[in-house]
Amino acid sequence: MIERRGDWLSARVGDEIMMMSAEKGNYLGVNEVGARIWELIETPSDLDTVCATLQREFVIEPDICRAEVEIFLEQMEKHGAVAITRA
Amino acid sequence: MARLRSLARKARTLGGVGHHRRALVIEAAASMFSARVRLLVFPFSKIARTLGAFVPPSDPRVAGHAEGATADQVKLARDIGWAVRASAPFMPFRSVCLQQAMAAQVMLRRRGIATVMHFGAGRGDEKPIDAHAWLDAAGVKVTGYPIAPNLAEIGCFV
Repeated sequence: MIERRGDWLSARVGDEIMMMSAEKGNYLGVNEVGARIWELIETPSDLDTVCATLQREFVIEPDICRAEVEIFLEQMEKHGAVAITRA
Repeated sequence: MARLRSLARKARTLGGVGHHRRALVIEAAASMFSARVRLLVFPFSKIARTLGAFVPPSDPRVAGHAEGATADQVKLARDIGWAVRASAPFMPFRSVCLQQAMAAQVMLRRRGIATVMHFGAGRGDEKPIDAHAWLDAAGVKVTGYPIAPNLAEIGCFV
């Protein structure tokens, strides 16, 4: 399961989103695909669902998509913006 | 010496404004100094707890912050904004947007006037992220205006 964590708020700037957390005292800039992932996990989701949606919307190989999403989510986990429950 | 001379000149410049405004400038300088120290000593996460509730810009408290503001409060918000902006260039350190917003917020709260501190960010030319803070009170644009067009408002403290 993947879900948002913390008090992060976000705003769109063109294709990207800017995020801020008061708890962490930090800003993040997230690119177009990352911004889409952030939207997709507004309600808790899982890796398969997120990847399936991204593959419908972006031209990307399934393996690459999965690897990239995992890397992105791990980074977001480090920033305390997502929680990943690994089954 | 040059600094002393310029301070004397600034003091003379301040001599041209009324007593009420001069007192506000002195208070603004002290509040800005205090904000500067707090930002140096504490992590932002700790400071954030003193700024208010962190809410999205769509929160009704943001739009409704000026409800019931009296004419006196509007005038005070304008004067405090002026005092903070006027004293910022005189400070011996770079008094950036967050210090100005924090100083004005403290001064306004002292007088029972509700504030909204906005935070925004955008892609910067020199830094990966340009962040900015600006303050409203009693429907008045107090500090941090104008806002650069590349910034998106992310959240507010109310």
